Amino acid sequence: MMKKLIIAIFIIFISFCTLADDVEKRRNQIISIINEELSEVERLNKQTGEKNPDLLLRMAELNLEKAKLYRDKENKDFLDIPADKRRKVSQKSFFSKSSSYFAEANRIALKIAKRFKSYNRLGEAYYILGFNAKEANNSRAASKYLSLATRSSRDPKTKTKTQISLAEVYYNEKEYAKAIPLYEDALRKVDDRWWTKDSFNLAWCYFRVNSYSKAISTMETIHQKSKSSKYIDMRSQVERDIGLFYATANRIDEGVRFYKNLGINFTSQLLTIAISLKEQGKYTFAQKVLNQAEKYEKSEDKLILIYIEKLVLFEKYAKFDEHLFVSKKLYPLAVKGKLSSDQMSQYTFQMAKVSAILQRQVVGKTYRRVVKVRNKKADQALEYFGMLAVLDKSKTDEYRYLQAETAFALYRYNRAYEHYKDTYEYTSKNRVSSPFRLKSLDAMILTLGKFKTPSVKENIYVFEEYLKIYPRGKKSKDAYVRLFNNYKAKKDYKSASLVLDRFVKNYPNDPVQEGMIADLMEVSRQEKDYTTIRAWINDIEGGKYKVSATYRKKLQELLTAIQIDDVQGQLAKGDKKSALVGYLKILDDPYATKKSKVNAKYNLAALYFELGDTDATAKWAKSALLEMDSKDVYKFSTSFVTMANFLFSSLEFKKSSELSETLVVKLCGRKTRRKNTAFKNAAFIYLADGHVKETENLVRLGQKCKVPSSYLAEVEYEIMREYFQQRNWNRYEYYVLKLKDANGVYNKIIDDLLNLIAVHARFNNTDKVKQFNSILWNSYYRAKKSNDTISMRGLDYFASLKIKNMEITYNQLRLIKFEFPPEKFANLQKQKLSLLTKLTEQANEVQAVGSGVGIVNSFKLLYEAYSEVANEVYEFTPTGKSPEYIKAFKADFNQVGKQLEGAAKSYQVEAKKAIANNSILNKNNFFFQDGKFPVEFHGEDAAVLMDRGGK
Amino acid sequence: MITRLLPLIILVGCATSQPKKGYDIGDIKNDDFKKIEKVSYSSADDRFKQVESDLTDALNEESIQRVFTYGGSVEVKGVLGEIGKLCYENKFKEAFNLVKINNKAYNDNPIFWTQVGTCYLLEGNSRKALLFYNRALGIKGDYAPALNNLGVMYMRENDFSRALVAFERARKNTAFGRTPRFNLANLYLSFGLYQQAESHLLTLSQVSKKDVDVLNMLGTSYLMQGKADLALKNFENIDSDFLENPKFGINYALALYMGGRPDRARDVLDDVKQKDLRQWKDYYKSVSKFIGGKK
Repeated sequence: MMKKLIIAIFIIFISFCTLADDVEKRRNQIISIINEELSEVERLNKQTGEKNPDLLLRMAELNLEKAKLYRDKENKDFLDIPADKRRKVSQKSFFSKSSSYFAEANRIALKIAKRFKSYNRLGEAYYILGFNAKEANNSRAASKYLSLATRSSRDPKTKTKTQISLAEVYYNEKEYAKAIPLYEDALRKVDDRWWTKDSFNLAWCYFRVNSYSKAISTMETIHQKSKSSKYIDMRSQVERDIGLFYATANRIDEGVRFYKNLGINFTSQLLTIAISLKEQGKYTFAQKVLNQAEKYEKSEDKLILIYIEKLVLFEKYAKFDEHLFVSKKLYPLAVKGKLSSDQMSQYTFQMAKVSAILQRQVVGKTYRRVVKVRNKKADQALEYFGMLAVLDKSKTDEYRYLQAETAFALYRYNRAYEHYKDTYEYTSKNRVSSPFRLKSLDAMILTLGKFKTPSVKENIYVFEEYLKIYPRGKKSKDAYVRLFNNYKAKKDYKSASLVLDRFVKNYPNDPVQEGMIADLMEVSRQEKDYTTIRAWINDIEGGKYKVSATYRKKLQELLTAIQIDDVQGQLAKGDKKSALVGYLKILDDPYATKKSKVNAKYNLAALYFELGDTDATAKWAKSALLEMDSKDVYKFSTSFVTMANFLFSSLEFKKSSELSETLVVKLCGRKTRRKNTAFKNAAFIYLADGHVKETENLVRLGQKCKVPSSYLAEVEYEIMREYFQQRNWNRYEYYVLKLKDANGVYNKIIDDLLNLIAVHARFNNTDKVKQFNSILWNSYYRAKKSNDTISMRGLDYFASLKIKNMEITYNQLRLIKFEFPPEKFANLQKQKLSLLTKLTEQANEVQAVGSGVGIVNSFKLLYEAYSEVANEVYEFTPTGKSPEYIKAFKADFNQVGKQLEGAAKSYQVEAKKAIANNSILNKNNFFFQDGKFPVEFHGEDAAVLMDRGGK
Repeated sequence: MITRLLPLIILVGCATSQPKKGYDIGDIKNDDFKKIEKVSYSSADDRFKQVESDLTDALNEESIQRVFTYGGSVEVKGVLGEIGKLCYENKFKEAFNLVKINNKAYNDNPIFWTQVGTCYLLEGNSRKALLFYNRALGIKGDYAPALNNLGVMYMRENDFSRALVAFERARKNTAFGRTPRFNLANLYLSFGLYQQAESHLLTLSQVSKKDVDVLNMLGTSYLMQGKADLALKNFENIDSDFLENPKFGINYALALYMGGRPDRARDVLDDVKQKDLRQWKDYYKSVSKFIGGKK
């Protein structure tokens, strides 16, 4: 069979070779004949001197025929050259021979047109020019000459020929309306074998101007006539194109009948038409034809072809809506496996291409502001990727991922997440090594972060998956934390705790664990789950978890807070009894922190204070104070002072002092008035309660704690006074010496110096008396100089010393007795008066001291001295003198006495005035009464206590 | 001397008989934490209304010390009165128990703390007395009883100048100031300042005709001025029971003598109890010598 086939092919080949040789031969024969005639006509033309236009026209015709023949040959030769070499060939030189004959024919025809304007066959010359121009693709010139030819042709044959040529020119120029009448006119007149071919052009002209009926009927006529050998057989062309005409004219039924009569499948034909139209760039027609084909096609196979063709068409013309629509129609067929592998490739290629375009548009800038369009495109892309994911198994992972990416680009995070998750789950199950697996996992994390409402469930899913893959990756730390937080948000604290353990396993020293622990502990704290918190703390203490020292401290505080929380709550509710019991329990709790115990103690003190229980208040307050740090002590110092005051008010003096003293100890390093106040309170209450030693210890503490020296001196002064009361002379002396120069008290010490002088005088300690006298005077002068107060007793003492001088003078005065002779008397009188003057001066000195006692006593001495001298004067009688002398002497001398007596009285008056004006409290005041006997009153112990303020 | 004391004890309802100490947890109730109602200062509480004692009538509204010394009846109302009464009776333990029980209620009441100070003064602890008087003054800076009692304290320490200042301050800070006037008169007179004493005594005598101390001091004041008749008028209004007391008897005797009744004078002086003389001893001798006394 094979042998027969080869022989047949050989015969056909031989036949073709034989046919080609015949054409060449025949062409050469014709050219030879033309040459003979041309030679004859040229000879005649020359003989006639080129004045016969018929000869010239024949020459032009012959040249034209020759040109046509050579052009056929050149065309054939040219096409026989291999394509790659053909491109390098110069067409001008290759077609030069035919071109030279065309040019010659043209030259002659032009000569005719110029020289013989009234020539009756001028139309034929124009035809030649027009034809040549047409062949040379010079349609402008062609239409010009062919129009002239049509107008000037008197020969009907020529006219028809030129009309058809001109119609062809118009046809080629797509000037169908111009071509139609030329064709119609020409084809009415002729019925040669070319009629079918020219009518075919006319039918297309009709089609182009939308005269579908004429186009179809012309086509049908051509088809009919083509059956005859008289005409060129145009049936195949008609069968090819008429389908389009029927389809376009919406006369598909007729088309179907037409093709059915011919035994041809119409839809296949339509498909072919569509492809053809598409290739011609006739998109609308192609679409129309395909639509019609689809409409009438029942076979799935054919429909698949139509769909695929449509996809190609829509893709080419960027009709993506339609593309998707068709893709979706094709999809179920593809899923059912109805597509051949080529078709499937074409289909998936189409979808991949369009989806890629769409995705580029979605992520690109062009549609960023045209949200609706962008969304639509994204939706389309998503549909393509979805279908591709199913159909293109080799890239399922990629298309799933692309779906997610497209949704993400459009901020559709929920959908994006679902697609990423789908990709991740698909790849995890089917293609673990797919790059899209990890990509989608990363993208899921990113996408979840974009959710308006965080999805705890999905977060947990993603981070769990992430940590399965990367238990110790670069981003794992963050993943653990986020996973932890999501479990926490879900209140799944057990799982959160397990996450913490996993974290610690991978990052044992990472400080982040501290935050997680803190969160979990806070939960337990809020739930008052103290057991769990203690377990946490034990784990931390046991080294299971690593936390900072600061946090460790905070934990202690937390434990404290927990322990106290309940009790505080009871306090806040006014259940003070329960609070009290709670605080006592804290103190018994072996797990209680130091701080909570301190807090409990403080609060117990406060509660017992409220109850008025002095023992318990003192006990807990002191205990709390001892254990509190200085900062807290300062913070609560006002409360402690209040408690100390309460103890004092409750007559618990020692407890009050001890509490105040403890406060001083705890505030020792601080510069605060509260410390000084506590110091003073403690000291005065200690002393009042008879605890001198404790007071002395407190002073030492005060010195150490830098209590101001004025406070220390004040307390030491009181200690000194206490020793005086106790008659403890050693200690008394010690403090007197210690304070003798101290600012603020040195002047008050004067009384004590006097006491010491008296004591030492009593024991004959003359050195000491001397020593203290010296100190006494120094203090006196210092006080005088500084204008500092000196006690009345001190002033009285200093005045009394000066009084002693007066007393000496007074005694001297008393020792002098008047006696005669007169010279002696005069001298004694002088001495007495001089001593009185001295006494008066000394009295002034006494009074200058400022002592009320001194004033009164000095006046008393003056009064007594002057009175005595006056009495002496009155009583003195000279001896051994005559009575007259004596009388005269007495009269004179009594005058002196009266003056002295007057002076004495004036001193008495002054004394009374001074006493009254200065309210001088001196027992000598009694002396200045007017009566005969100084009346006294001794009510020093009769002062009366006042119990009420009265009216 | 007979102490005619008819105390009527009305204790404040909230007070318990024992100070709060050593609570048994089981016995504590939330009610125990309730804030104690404070008894703040009230001028109505700040005077005695039910003191019946003619002998001390000059000061009966303000001071009950002499009632307990000289005899009389006093109706003691409330904790404040009860504490005072117990202290004047030298029942300090009981008094301090009351203080411990009631100190929170009276925390801001100067009457209470003055009373506490007085108890300590009466007990002989002037340091504690000083602390509580100062506490009263811390609450009411010009509270006359506390100021007056500080003066009394100074008198006991022979610091007369400071006593004078304290009494003067107390007097200025009361409308009438009977007790400070009384004490001022006593102080002035003790140092012969009869004129200053007299003005206060005359004021007191306007509200009191029978107060033995006022009569005695006024008589002494007149006597210092040499007005024996006026002195006698006052002395003779004094209950004869008091003449055995040197404070009353010696100057009455002197007045009798100066008023021309030497025998009676000597009899009165003779009746003065020798064992009570103390600071009057020297004076007694000089008066005795002056009037020709029997001893």
